[in-house]
Amino acid sequence: MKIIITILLLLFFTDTEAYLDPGTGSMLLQVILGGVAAVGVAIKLYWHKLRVALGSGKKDTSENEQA
Amino acid sequence: MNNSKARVNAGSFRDRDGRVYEYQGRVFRGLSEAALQCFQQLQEKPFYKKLVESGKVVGSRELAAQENPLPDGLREQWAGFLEHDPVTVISYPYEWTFSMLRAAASLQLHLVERAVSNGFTLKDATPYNIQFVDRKPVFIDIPSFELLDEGEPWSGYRQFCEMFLFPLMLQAYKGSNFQPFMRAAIGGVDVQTAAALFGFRDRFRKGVFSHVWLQSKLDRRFGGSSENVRSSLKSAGFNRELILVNVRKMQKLVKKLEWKAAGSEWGDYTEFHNYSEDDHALKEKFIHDAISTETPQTVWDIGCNTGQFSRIAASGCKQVLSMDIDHVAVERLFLNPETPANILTLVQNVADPSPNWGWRNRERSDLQTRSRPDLVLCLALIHHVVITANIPLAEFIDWLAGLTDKLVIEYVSRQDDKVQTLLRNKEDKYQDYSRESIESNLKRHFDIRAQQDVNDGNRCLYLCVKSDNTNAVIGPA
Repeated sequence: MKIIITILLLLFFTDTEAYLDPGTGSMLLQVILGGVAAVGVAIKLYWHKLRVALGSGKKDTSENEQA
Repeated sequence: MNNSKARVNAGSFRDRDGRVYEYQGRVFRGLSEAALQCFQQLQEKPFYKKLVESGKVVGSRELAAQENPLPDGLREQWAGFLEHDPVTVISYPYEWTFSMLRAAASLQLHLVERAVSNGFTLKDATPYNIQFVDRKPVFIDIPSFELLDEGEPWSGYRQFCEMFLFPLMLQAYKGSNFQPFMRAAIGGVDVQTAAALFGFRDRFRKGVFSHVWLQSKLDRRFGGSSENVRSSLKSAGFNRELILVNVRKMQKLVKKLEWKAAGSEWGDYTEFHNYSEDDHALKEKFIHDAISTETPQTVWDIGCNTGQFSRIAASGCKQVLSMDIDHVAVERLFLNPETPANILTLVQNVADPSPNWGWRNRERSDLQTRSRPDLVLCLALIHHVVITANIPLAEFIDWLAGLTDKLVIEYVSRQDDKVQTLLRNKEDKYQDYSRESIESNLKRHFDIRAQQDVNDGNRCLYLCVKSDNTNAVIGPA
């Protein structure tokens, strides 16, 4: 649990001031709070992102293209 | 209510799948094709039947076309209609006490847990979907139930935080009354506001680090993201078990939240009044007689305090609304197991009452729109209204006359120690505060049918019934 939170903090927490949408962060928080039950989901979620970032994975078709 | 025309409920517009209408004293809900199909599946489920049978969800039935009394033009707008059991008085979370909001939060979580376990979910999480009937919370927004799309997160989580959890935490952890926050924003206490209100040390309190601080950080970090997180979660294997894990953790958290002030600091309220036993008995008899002779259906007890006179009223009428500015007093009345089921407890300040507000200023209405009293009890209150809130006595009586045809009001004289206390640090500019003044103002609207001196004449009770031909001017001149 703590490890997941730490990874998330390291990966994503910058001082971004963004337009607030209704729940993206809140949806991700549900994975963090899921604890042990959510470890598999968290790994899949961020493994996929890592592969996309390294250019070795296909972007999910369900993700919107950047404008 | 206007019986000739169906009245659309002004607060039911947000969900495009349905709309509530009031017609001839009955409550109907038009449903879209999708919502109707969902209801038809839902009503066959044992978990849903059990929720209805236990009174946790309002009784509802689908209307056949031939038994639908609504006008043709309205019927054509929707695929089908439900009829709901009516709720006697609609109340709002900013009128509830801490324990009322917590009971509503527990019900909401219970429904999510039951629904998700059975392949359904609740699309939102707002306390406005919950009403108090016989002092128990009842869920009234049936189309909030929808089929669970496997892999979807708990869509109402954030709203649950903003409209239940954060207000409860503010009361439990900070001792700050949550009602003004709920009345200030129709969406409750948003994540960033909560993060600003809870300081560094609060992060060590249960639930604050994750639900407030972490959520606010994630909110800021991902708020502008164009990524479809919903589908990413689905493809990563998010499932209903995860929702249930989070809901059960939330249930434990909500259960543990306590507001200490209600149990300790405020001393014994039963010793709050300054009556002798004989005088107290006289007062009780006066109110009992007033209720017996005037036979009201609905009684408002304004400034109910411990609710001892509300209880007398409740024994002789259908519904009592017991309201007080003092959150602790109302909380105690709500929690008291001896409080009768037909007392609805509300935190309400007469001098700053629930307004008409929200979308077009109609989404949430003032209390007078939701309930009309046949008789008002206004006991040991007038000195607070005139001297503390600086409302002219004549204007207060005008307001009462516009509210009710029957009134039991207690005058508290200047010699009474409660009035002395209020005046001790104030310049006395209350020339309108006298027995002669209250009597002449009452007579502008009412016939005084009975009166009773108590406390050696320092207090006086009046039973007033609206006179047939008043020459009153309602409102400020």
